[in-house]
Amino acid sequence: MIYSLYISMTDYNIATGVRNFINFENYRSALFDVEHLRSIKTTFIFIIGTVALSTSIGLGLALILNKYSKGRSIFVPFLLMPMMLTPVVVGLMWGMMYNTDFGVIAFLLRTIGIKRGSWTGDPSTALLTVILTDVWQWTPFAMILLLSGLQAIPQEPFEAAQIDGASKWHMFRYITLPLLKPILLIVIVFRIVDSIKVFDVVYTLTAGGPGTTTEVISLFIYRTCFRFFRMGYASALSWILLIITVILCEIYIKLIRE
Amino acid sequence: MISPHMKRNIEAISAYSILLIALFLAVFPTFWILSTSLKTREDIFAMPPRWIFTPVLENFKNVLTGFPFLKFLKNSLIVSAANTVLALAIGCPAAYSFSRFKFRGSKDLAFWILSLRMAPSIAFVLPIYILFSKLGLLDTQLSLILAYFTYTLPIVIWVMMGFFKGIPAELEEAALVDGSSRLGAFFRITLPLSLSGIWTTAFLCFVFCWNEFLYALILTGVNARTVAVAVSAFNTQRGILWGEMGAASVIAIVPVLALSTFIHKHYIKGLALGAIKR
Amino acid sequence: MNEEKKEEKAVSRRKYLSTVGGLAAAAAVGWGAAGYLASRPPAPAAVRTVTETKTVSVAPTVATPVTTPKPPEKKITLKVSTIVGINGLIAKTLKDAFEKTYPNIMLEIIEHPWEEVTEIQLADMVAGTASYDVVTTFNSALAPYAKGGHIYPIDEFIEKYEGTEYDLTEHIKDLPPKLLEICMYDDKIYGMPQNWWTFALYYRKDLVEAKGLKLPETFYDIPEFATALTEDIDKDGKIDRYGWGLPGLRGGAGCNTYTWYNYLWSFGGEILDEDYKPIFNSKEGVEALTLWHDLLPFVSPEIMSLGCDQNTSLIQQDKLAALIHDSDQMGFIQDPTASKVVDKVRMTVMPRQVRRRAMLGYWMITINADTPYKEEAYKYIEFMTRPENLKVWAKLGQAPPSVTLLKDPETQKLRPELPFDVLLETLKDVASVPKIPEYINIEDKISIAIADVCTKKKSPKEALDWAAAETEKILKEAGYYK
Repeated sequence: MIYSLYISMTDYNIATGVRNFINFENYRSALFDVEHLRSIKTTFIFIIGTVALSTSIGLGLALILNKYSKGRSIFVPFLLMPMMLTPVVVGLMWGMMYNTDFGVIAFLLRTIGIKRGSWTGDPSTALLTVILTDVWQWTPFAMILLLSGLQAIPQEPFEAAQIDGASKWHMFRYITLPLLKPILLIVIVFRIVDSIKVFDVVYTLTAGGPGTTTEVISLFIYRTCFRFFRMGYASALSWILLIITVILCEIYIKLIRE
Repeated sequence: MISPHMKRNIEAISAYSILLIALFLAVFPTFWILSTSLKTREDIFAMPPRWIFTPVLENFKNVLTGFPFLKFLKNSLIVSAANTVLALAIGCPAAYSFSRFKFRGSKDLAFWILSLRMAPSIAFVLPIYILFSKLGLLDTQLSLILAYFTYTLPIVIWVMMGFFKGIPAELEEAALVDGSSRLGAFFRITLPLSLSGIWTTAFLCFVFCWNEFLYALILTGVNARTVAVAVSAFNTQRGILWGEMGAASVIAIVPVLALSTFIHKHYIKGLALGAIKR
Repeated sequence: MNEEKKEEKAVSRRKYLSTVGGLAAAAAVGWGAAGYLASRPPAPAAVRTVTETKTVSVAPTVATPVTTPKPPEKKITLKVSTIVGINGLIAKTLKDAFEKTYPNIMLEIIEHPWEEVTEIQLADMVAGTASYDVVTTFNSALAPYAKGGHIYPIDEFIEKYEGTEYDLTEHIKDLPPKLLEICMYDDKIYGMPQNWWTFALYYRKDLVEAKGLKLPETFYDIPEFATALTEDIDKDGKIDRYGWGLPGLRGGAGCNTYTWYNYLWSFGGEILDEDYKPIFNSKEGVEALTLWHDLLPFVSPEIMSLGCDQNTSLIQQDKLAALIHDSDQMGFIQDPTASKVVDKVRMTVMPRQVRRRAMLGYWMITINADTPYKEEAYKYIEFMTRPENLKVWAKLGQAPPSVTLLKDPETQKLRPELPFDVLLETLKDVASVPKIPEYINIEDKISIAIADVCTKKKSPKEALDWAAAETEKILKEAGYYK
């Protein structure tokens, strides 16, 4: 980690072998780098999309599974399946399915009348496909954690509330949610952290394209380091990312812990 | 007027239909991969998609004979299992102390641990590579086991922290009064009650290690290569070998699926235990 | 109450200590294990941590014995980093023959996925660990590797072994001239090309004949050609066979830039001028990109995810009728297990505009600068280029990098689907990318420009001007402009 910090203060370029200490020059230029900022914006949209969707869907599924336990032992392992696949394969597989010429999804959508050109190749829908694929893969993560959390909630408060005549919604809001807060917090934090770093899926699904529409920050750093060979700059970018993440999480936790 | 009985039924039906839809969505792509692995190359690209076809086992044969795939499986298994077990062993006590004891700086330490996970892998790949090469750890399973701690430890600690917090301290107090030690109380009361959390976390750690790509790619060569890297190698220079990739993915999923079914059984047991203790 | 609190504090401290102790113990165990592992009898790999050669200027003072044709019995393992696919296949096929010729050198062939090979090799080179002695790389990576001092030029070995059984000069004379030039950086030869490709016009002979079409001779003939070949066979409103193919994929080799360069050059444009100023946004460049844009209606809407490989798939699946494409793809199109159009596709020279200049791409084998086994690595390179071994390459599906063999009818018979005469004709005027380490950065900008035109985000002129401005920025920062 320290080595990385050191490198980030140099203008190390793997290709030219140049390595000079340039202090915070990297950081300064990063703040003004248009592409850098754009990739942050893209990542931001991505995070909001995937965290919101995967958490809420996961919560919904967890609630249902919590209540209806019949057949659960069959449902749960299969519902966990998306998570079990390597992200690389997930990206490639979904890419294939979205493909207008060969893909199942494109085919099915065409038969029900939604015609269009490419899904992953169209700037207006590319980010959406990436978000959906990520949601698909990680909703099980949210689901299983929330389910465990729900399972651990004792029954007494509910019984008491029922005697008092509380409505379902009431019980959910004032009993379930607060008791679920610690786990919910963890799920959201981890989802945010993981989404900030998302790489494999995006790389294999769209490679940051078309153009730069789906270039999330980790892709950008990757390109900077391994394609442009600017390791010093890439390190600086990573540290900036780390700082942003830390700040985000701090804010979030403070907000929740009120 | 809908009687409460009917209402409950409608609820149940809608709940189960939602589950079924979710199940379909979750399973369909995996099923698709499975069917791809059983198709000949011609069938794979057929459009409209061919639902009925004669399955062939050729892809599986190619994967298993053309590459030391079983070795990769073994590597993945060792790395994931070792890391999960170690992470749990270290993480649970740590989580416990974080949740029960407010010592100075506990919040910060906990947060620092979480921040380990926040680091984008790319940044640290090269430094870690250099470090491990100096230690002679390259291309060994140990290198991956160690590297993955930055991911799995935070998850264990934070998730278990949440669980432990949810268990009222009075239960442990009661045991202490009865004369057991802190450690004993921990083992006999807290752990069993949070079993569902432990199994969940174990599963998540395992899956993460199993599927991780970047570190596995850079830190291993031929000896310690894991399944995740092997599967992606089917994206060859000239064309993606869909059939073989599908077969490899299917083989790769089997252990994880087995694990999850196994876990689920014990998960249920853990819940029952928890209910009784209450 | 105080008692309890104090007890709690004491216990908490104990618990905390035990946790920390546990962590420390684990760390200690880990460290001990690491130390143990590091201290094990070193595999040949570990011996070389002594040499720290990073810069090119280090003389080859290595402990290996000198020029005797039969080195003493020290067995070493030469690690060859190559890619999964044809190169890996070639390496593995010739492994036994090599080991027989050099009984004291064992080969370890390590195959990487081709998209990640640069990262893996770079990680190794930056760390200086020399996990690979022989490194397989390609056009765009030559300059960065060479300038960064990561690979070692072979000139001295060529000189040393001239006239001996390890002579490479004959083969060098036999290389297609441009191919040799692009294996050089800064006037030094860094390695030998293993497989190479250029670009040609692929078309479906059966369809062209059935429709009585004339093959496009200039680039502006292409739209008409493509129109005739684009078909909606089942009349469902969706085109089933595209008349032209273009890669839209962002990137270098196998992606949109490498193919577009054929268009750019044939229109008379260039990428950079002698002063390293970008001129791909000249009038010629804009024309080339405008033609590209005008061909979009005939190309699959999936263009943004199409690269070289994907286009080959489309051809195989009878979804693509013609395009300008990498010359080494013919083997896959003729593969009966994957292709539906075996024997229906033909290859000929590209159309011309102002001229016909095609892109020359290659994978070459080079020596890792950190390895102590430079001589052995050179011997491997030399071995792989011997005529009998080059014939093996031809058998496995590659056009051998040898003018003699390309003219030899026997070798042609090994690869009937790959017309060597087309290759030789195209080789008369070929070019490659600028040999500067910053090139990949520039390539990315050009790639984005092409992508923006494909998605109709920008006009060709806007896109290219933007890319040129970015390129100037990059090169200025790198100090190319006085």
